[in-house]
Amino acid sequence: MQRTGTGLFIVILLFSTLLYGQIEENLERYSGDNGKKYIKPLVDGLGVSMNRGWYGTAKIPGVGLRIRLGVVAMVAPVLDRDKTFEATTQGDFHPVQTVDAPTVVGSEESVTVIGTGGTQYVFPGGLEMNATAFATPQLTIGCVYGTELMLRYFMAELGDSEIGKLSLTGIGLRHSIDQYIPLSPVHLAVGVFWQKIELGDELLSFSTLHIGAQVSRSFGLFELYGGIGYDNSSVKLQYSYNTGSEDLDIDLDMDGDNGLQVTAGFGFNLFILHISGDCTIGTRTAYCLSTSIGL
Amino acid sequence: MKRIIITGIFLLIAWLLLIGMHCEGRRVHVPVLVTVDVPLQVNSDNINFAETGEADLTEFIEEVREQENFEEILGMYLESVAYTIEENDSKPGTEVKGTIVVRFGTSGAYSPFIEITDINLDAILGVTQLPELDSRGVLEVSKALSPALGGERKIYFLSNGRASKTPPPNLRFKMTLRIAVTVVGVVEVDVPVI
Repeated sequence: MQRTGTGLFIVILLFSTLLYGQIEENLERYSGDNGKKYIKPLVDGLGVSMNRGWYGTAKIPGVGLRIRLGVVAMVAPVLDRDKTFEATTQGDFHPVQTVDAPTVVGSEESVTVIGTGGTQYVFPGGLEMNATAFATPQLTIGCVYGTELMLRYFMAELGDSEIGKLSLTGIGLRHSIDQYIPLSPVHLAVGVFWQKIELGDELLSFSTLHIGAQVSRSFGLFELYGGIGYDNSSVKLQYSYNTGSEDLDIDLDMDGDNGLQVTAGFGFNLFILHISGDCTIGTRTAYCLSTSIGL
Repeated sequence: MKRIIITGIFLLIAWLLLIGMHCEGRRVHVPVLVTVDVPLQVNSDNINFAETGEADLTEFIEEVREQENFEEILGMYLESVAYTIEENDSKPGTEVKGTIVVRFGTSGAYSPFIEITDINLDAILGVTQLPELDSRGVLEVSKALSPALGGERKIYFLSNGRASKTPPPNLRFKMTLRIAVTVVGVVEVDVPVI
């Protein structure tokens, strides 16, 4: 069995040819609601993870140079309720039955139900994930009129003619609010952050959006920060549903677990080194750690 | 010197951030559906008919094994059987009844599989029927699908019946049996974990 060690960008692994291919393969067993319910925990988890790590402070100077390059790692534990879903048999199998079957993050083992005369219908296993993880490089550039820009980007050729390339594009914009409030005891900012992962030629398109407000206060080298905002994520997925005799093209379009998120974190700044970690609670819990160097 | 220390700390923390994430192998159970059509052409000048058909699943199963990169095959199961009257040149209103029996291999006794009760050929022309299956016939198919058996996986069918309404001549129709089999294999993949 091939085992891979630590990778710089775990997302490449997550959406690598093999893993994505497997998710797509398992999806071939499902169409309609079954397909959506099978894949949804991954969409929800990744949506919450990817929306984290954009900031480690609300302090944005009115004018000045800020260039920081770092790595952000985010993780959202998989909830027990996400491990299974109510799946319904499809095709010519009868009688139609509904059972608890593994989702994409659920048990590796398949689930079987018995039909007429002892026929058997098999639901696919999942990938048995304990968390949805995401890591990305991030560049922060500022500051003009109390505004800074955040960028996330990478692209990888997966070397598979069926899938092609994987790309991540992310952009965030934040603006200082406390610059308009004389003698404000804390730093305040608002921001909007957008990302998109694309795989192949319209095989998968995953996008996230976070809009929120942040607050922070420095204590020497240390910094407390927090934020509140709204997460939005959605996915478009193309795959083939195997009826046994033919493959039907399925376009799956669904939203993630969108909603209000509250973040609390702690930072450490030493000269050009910046480290921060935070926890976000909302539709689900996510943790983020980031480190960067720069002004 | 200060810059070297800070860069060193940055790299150390970046490494620590990522070391918590690693990959573990998973053995995922993957079911793949294959179907085989078995035509049964009835062309009888009297009220009785008896036609045979066969399904060879060997090629399909090997194809699945190769395409899906299965590390091993956990099992093969009969998922469903459907039949469709695809052509009917019998007299209008003709009804037939009978049985379809099945066996694994060219010798041995047939096991009951499907009972056909007074179907009006015109009424169900082109409409897929999902019959109740006899467990003895399902068991016979399961024998053919058993991974332990290996080799040839041919299933033989015999349909026996008679016109129950509107007597012959012209008891002529084509029935297609669709046999759906699920091949469940294990695929090994790496999954990011914390």
